[in-house]
Amino acid sequence: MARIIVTIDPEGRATVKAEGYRGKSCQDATKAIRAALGQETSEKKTPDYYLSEQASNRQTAGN
Amino acid sequence: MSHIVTIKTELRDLHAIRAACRRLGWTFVEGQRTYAWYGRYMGDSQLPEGITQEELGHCDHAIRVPGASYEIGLKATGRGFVPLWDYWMSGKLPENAGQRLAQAYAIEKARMEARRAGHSVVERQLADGSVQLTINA
Repeated sequence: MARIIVTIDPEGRATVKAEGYRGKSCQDATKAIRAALGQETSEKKTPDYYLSEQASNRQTAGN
Repeated sequence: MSHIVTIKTELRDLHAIRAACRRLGWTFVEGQRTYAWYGRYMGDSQLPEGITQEELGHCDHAIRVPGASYEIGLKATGRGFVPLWDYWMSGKLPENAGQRLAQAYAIEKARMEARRAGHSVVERQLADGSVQLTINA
């Protein structure tokens, strides 16, 4: 199941990550919450991001 | 998991600020234009970004903390409200008042956004003092 995990540290910094989304769709899913919280200071794409993008590209190519 | 973003919390929503104060047991006072502090800047602490020495003591809203004689002021800026407070000496405000407010605000703001989207939220306190919200989309 797709979910968004927001962790707020004792200094008030928030980390937002999405699980169970494929490729770029996770960025859309977290967009509202990211904009609501404040100013983005860093962004990291985990290996899954590229893997799932490739997977969906492959599917598209196969269809 | 495929994407992690770190965000510096900005206090922009008065509803969430109000909810953050409730969470902390503090009292939000809308429209209070001054906040109690020592009254004179001694140059012994760094001024918040974009705040001048002359602006200290003045605010747009204020927060009262039980047991503290000094208060927290919220000053409106282009980047949301900046908390101003004096933790020196007898004011009895915690040194980390601004960080505590930012954490409580981010929790409440994220919960509000999740609710608005019709998602359920599970809140968990972590051992390092962080709070984790799991939003089921």
